[in-house]
Amino acid sequence: MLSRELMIRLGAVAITACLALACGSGAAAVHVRGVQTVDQPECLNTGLAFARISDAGASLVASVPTTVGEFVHWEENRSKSVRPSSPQRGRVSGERLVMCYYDGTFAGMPMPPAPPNAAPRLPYDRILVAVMNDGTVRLVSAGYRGSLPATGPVLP
Amino acid sequence: MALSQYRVDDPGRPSSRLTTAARSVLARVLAAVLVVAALLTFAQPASAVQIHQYSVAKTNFWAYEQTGVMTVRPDADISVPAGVCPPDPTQGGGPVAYQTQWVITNETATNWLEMGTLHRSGSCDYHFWGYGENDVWNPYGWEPVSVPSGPLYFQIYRVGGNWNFDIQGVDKWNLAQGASTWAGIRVEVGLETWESTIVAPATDYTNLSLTRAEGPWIAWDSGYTFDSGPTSPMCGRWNPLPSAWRAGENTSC
Repeated sequence: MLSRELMIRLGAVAITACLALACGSGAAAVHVRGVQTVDQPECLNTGLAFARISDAGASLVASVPTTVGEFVHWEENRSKSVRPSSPQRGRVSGERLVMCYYDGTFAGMPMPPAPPNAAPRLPYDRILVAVMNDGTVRLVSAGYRGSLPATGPVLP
Repeated sequence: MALSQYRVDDPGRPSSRLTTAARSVLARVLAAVLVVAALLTFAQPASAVQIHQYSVAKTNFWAYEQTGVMTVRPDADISVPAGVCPPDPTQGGGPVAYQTQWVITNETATNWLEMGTLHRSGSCDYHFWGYGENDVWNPYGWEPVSVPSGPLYFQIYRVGGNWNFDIQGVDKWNLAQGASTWAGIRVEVGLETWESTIVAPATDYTNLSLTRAEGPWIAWDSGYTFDSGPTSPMCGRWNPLPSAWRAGENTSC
């Protein structure tokens, strides 16, 4: 029979493991380019509801709090070939904005046909959603886990 | 009465007569159910299935700097099964079909510019535009439209390195060049579906044209791709008009 002390230790280990694996919530704190982030309420509520319109099983994988100014700079300069004007450009630069990454199966989004002799394209499996301070939500990007890494507004 | 008064092999015991009657009724009920199920099976259309197929015309030559794609077509009245009309109409989820066009800027088709019309159930029809890079789609705008429309000009074209997205001569979006700029290696125009029971009437995508190195519009009618075969709902063919592709779903082209 296990001693009371051993049982308490085993319980503590189980709870720690459960927290580490985000037991029951499907979401976990993540490291984003060396920055420790925790699940932001915007991503757990407004952003998640938005993502689950596309996939009811979508789960939060990273949340990165930043500002409109940092986000706009990142969005407009992340590509070397094109420079889109960010729809958030007209907002206050210091306004809080949270970047929320969700994994799931996001079928039905625009994509071109695969090139000749290539395998058919699969539905996207990761999206990036921006949640603004006033609750405005925007789909920023849709891609794949390999092509859309869950990063903060840091330029390559 | 005590149950023990009957032997198991007694043919006259009441429980045996009940079992025989019950079996007869049960057999008749089962037969009726099977007949009804069979009738229902043959009477129903094919059930909706999520698919991802295309019927598109595309340029087959790769040697030129392709800097524009144009077509003239209506926003068709496409019948889409019930589904969501999300706040961002390009965010996916539920049945959807696209009348669309692309400038593909690399051989793996992971970089592209796109503009078209998306169709969901009800009155959820939108023009949309955006670009993709490294297999990541970035939507940049949409506006609701009424369907069916008359023929409309849809043009994506590059001027001075910057990309313009025009519908019926109205500038909808501009995408500035970065440190470098993109050039298309192929352009494509047509229909994309994500659901097997969508009914898209055969629609002509006419005046198919491209620009090379930011020059004048040039007609093309070189190649195509569409998902065919006994299980595909898509159809497509070059129609009798020059530089025109006809595409549809669950219809005859």
